[in-house]
Amino acid sequence: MSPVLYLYAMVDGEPSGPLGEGIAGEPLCLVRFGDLWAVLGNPAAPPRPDRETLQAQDAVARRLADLFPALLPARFGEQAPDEATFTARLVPRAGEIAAALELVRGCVQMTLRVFGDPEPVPAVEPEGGPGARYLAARLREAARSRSLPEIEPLREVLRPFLRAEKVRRHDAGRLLGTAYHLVPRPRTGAYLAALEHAEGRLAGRRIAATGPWPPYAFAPEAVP
Amino acid sequence: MSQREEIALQIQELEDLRAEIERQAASQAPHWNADPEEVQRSVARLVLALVEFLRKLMERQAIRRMEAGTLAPEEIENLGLALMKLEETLHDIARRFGLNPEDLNLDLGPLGKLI
Amino acid sequence: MSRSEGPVGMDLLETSDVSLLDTVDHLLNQGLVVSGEVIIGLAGIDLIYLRLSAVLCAADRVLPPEPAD
Repeated sequence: MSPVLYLYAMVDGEPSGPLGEGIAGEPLCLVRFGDLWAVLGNPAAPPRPDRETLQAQDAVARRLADLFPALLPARFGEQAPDEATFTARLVPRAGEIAAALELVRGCVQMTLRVFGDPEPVPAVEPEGGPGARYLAARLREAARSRSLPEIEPLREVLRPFLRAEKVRRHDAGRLLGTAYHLVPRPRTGAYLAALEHAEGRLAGRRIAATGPWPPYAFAPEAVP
Repeated sequence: MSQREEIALQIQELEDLRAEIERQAASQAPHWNADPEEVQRSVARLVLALVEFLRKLMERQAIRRMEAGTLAPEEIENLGLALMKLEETLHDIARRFGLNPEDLNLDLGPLGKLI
Repeated sequence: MSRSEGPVGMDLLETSDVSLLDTVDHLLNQGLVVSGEVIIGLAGIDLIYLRLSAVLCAADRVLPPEPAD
């Protein structure tokens, strides 16, 4: 087992305090890749995905998120043997990473799990030839997997506090899906108050909300 | 619904992470090894899975362009037919090797899960 | 509180901590991904290393638009 370079987050701006330690107690450092800045550590061995490690990495991401005006937390396991490998991976994506950092600047994430009955799927009139119908059906599936019309009454109330939203539909029994909300930090209290008052608008559906979190769900897509 | 039931549902949702967890625990990158006893079938599975992966990538791009309105109607029809046919062909070939459609969803680590 | 050493999946069945499940979702399903690697082997020997994420890009972003007919 050899040491690896481990990516904790992409950041922007000056840290307002010392970076502290990573999940293996290793010192963290700021490393530049072109116009991008990353927080890296060098644990002695690739970290194992167990409960303690994942919670430790979340704790590191939270601490870093409080130090920087803009931060994108990395997924677990983002490691490389050397800086050159990270350069090759990060620099081509500089534009989208910078854009994502702008989006999340000053914001936190709230994670909402939605439970209850799904709304019925509207019937669609098939149009066009078989190829067009095939793609239209795939498009509808893709759109549906990113939609939760069931919480629209909630969204109406929360919209003033949202900079962005990402939705993943699961349709797994009574777990309908998850909504990830990007909320400017100073509005977190107002968001939570609105959420509490608005849950009754959901016709028997329920929400389990956690947060605030660093903005995990608002990193750029990995595959175009 | 009790909190216990809600958590059971969330655990179901996260069941598909087990493969990811085991893979990560094993090494730095997902390893795919062809079983030496069934090399022909294993290699067929790999080839078909890679083509299916590319097919899904192309389908994703086709959908994006359709949404963006940058495809003409004939292009949409032709792309749709080609993607449909390719999927059918891959499944046919897979069947001949005794493989199910699910066998073509090779765990390609983070990339696989993002498609 | 006992702590098991197994993968997170096993632990989750005994916990009632909703927030832990979200931690797992965020760190394994979300977050910035920069690696996208697969190693393909035969007979236990690693032969091919694919790093796809560094080369994937939508064609209509890198290629010039085709001339209209």
